[in-house]
Amino acid sequence: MEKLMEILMEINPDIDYKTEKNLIDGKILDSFSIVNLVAQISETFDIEISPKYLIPKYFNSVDAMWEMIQAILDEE
Amino acid sequence: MNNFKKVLLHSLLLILFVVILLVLFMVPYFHGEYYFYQDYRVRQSLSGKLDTLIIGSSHASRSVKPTILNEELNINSYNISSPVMSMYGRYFMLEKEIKRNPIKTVFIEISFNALTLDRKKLGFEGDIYVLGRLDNTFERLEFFKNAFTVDEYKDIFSDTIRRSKVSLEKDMVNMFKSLKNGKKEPNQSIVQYETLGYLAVPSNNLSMTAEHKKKALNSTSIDIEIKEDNLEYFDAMMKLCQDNGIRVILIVTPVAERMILSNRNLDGLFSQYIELAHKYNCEYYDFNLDKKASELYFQKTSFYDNIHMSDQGAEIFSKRLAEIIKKVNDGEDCSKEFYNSYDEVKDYIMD
Amino acid sequence: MSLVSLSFFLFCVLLLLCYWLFPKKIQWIVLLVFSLVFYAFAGIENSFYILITAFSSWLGALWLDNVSQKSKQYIKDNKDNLTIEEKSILKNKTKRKKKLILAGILLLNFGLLCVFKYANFVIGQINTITRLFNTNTTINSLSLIIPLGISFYTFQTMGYLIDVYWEKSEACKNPLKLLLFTSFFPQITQGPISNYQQLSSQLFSEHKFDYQNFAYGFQRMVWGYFKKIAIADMLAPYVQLVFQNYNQYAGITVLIGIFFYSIQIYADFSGYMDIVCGLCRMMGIKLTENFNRPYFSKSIAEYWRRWHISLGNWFKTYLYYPIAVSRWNTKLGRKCNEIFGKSVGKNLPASIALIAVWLTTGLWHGATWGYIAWGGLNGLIIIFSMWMEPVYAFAKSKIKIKESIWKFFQVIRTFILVTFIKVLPEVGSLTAGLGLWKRIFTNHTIPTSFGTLLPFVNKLHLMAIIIGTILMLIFSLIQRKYSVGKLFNKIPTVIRIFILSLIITILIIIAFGLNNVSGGFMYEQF
Repeated sequence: MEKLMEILMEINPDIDYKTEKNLIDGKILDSFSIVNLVAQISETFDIEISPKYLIPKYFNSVDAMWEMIQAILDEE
Repeated sequence: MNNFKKVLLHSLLLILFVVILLVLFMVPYFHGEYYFYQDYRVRQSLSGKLDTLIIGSSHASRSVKPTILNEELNINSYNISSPVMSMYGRYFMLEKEIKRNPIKTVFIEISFNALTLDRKKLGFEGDIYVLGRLDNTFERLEFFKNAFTVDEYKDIFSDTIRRSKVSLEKDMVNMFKSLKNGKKEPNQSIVQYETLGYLAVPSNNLSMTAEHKKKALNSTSIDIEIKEDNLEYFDAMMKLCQDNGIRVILIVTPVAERMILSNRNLDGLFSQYIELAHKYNCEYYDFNLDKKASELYFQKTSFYDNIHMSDQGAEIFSKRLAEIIKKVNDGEDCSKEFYNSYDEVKDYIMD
Repeated sequence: MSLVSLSFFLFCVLLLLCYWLFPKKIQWIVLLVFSLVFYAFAGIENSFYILITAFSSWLGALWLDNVSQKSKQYIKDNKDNLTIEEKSILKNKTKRKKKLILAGILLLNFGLLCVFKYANFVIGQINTITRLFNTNTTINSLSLIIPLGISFYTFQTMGYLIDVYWEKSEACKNPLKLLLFTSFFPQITQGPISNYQQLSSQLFSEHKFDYQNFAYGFQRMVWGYFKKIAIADMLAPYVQLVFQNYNQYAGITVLIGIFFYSIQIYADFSGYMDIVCGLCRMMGIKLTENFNRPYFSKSIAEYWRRWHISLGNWFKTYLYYPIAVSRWNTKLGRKCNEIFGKSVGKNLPASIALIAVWLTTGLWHGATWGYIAWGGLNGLIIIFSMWMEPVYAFAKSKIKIKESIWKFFQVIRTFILVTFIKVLPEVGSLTAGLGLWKRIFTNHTIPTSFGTLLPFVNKLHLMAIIIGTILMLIFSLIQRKYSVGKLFNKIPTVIRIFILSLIITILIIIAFGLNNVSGGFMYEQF
């Protein structure tokens, strides 16, 4: 979880990831940041994020992202 | 079901409002006087006074001046022709005017396509003009039902909208001017009060060089097949006049030389018209066969185009027509004033 | 079937009657029948291809689903018997099989699209090249009639297929239902390109009649028709004159012409969307929005999130993300990060994906160099802005401007930029587009009167257009905070209906009054 926070802080340090639940729908993270984020997450956790996960549901909050990472790890 | 009732009610209300607004929009066109051929008020003002009518298509409306006929023959005539008038349109207008006037004489113009025109190919333009000139809703509905086919309705609607737009614009401009000047502006579109239905057009030079004449001679032909529906209404007009004891004079108005020279089969066409004249035992004068035609009408100034006379030409022709009629009325035999065939005329022109 | 026609009006009336009077269970069948009839109107000969797309996708999706489910089931059943290695091999085998199936069907459908849209372009280019070598061999262009909406329905249906491949969406079992998804008539000519999950839930659920939806939908349709008839169609002939004769007009006239085009294309496209979204709303169906006051955007990137939104979303989901987060691209990003630093590491992969997206977007819009250049230009600007972001941020922090003024400047700048870029492919060819730009900047004639400034424009028409545009602007400004529909429906019913009737009457007068009527009016005096 800390690793995830680290990545997010690197991408955009001004956001309060603990409370923000609307990162995508609220247009706080744009598509460039997402691409970057995905690249970092897949490298850090050694997983492959299939495009099917690239929807707001999985990226709107840190918790959602963490759940997604867990789900992918379980699948593999 | 409450919802559906609401929808139905609101839809009907919407449609009602749209229809009312459209009708209001069309009022200046049908009942105003900004439509070019709109002469119903003129004819209304003359109703009961006319004893002679001139009816035909644009050939007649551009070449016969009732003012001259009235002066020369001491009659009260009106020219109820309009462009591209179909035979049905002519019958309708004729019947209408005969009902409200003590008509004694009718000049029917039957130039080269009067009986051969194919209404389907030609389109509804002429009938639109007649529709506009009627003044009574029931008449309009009756005419509309008979003159137009369902596939023409959409285009007629478009056409009516366009003319209504123009009429409304002119109406508003006039109203604005009247308010500005403090008095009612005269409507300048309706010239028919002065011209008694005649509509002038300017002259164009239609003279031909000898070369030109040679090239044009018999180079083309026209449709000479008389159509059933045209004949039907022609018969109806004849019967109408017969029943009312009206003298019918069939006339062919002058056309430019190039029209006469170019077409091979004019005699084929007009021989049929002559037959019709005999059938109904009415007078028939083809002013293209007039021996004086070449000295009366100038190719440079008497014509607007191949088939229509200009204002200058109409002035001369109307006088000539009056002259012939006067002679006939005085008991003279005018057949010697005319050639016997178009071939004869062509020979004359070619020299 | 043109949306501005008597046949479409009758079509809608019939559709609404059938839709609401028939049992709710068969509402989707009514939609299917009417969609097929609508499509048939465009020519039965070409209706064949949409059936190929729908049927191949239905089959393909079920097959993909089947393969996935079988594999998952097998692994589940034999959880204890299989080693991790064996599981991995099986998973890869499944993946490969699925990839093949997907590739096959994508190839078939995109292949059809490419042949219809681009065959003649390619032939033209080949001919140009062979001419350079002075050979006499020219390939004749094919006479193809492009099937109606092929760009839209192909993308929409392939999106569905890819969603099934990614297991984002379940396969549709009923081929007729998938046919409806593919051929749904409100979207077929100009979109929006919908996503399967969103649209299917709308199309296949049962809708109960709701007066508010019905009324709002109708009002939205009237508004759409207003934009189309009173603004777009009125501007169209003027814009055409400028595009076809730009070298005969003063630079400033051409400049006005391209702004006319911006207004025209927005009114036309968004008006069309209003009409189809309104019609769908009357049936209780929610279509995805395609416009979000795009001319208020502050950057080109933002503009493309607000103009033709569904297309942008399609490209983002099915082209941009897959390329951007693909293995090779992320590897590249990582390498660049090590060698050139964080900025390059972040921006390069995104730039590659963007180039791919924008060239394809350009091509999607049309098979000409003009469109390819246009797409590339949009892409380059977005990429450039992305790389320059830290510079802009730095500059902004140093220069003190009031926030609202800066935002206003950004909006105007973006609008002007968008207007210029937009016309490049529309003038006829790339050279013509460049020629038009040149005319604006090099011709400095100052027209002395309205007649010389806009010689082809009827003053009355212009007044109507200006009033219409101002209305559009006002609506857009209101829409920032409020729903125009809600406000409008506060007006008492009879007055509201009267206002609608007035607008409809005016539209009828404009639409029918501008018509070029058949049957020569040789003796026209007006």
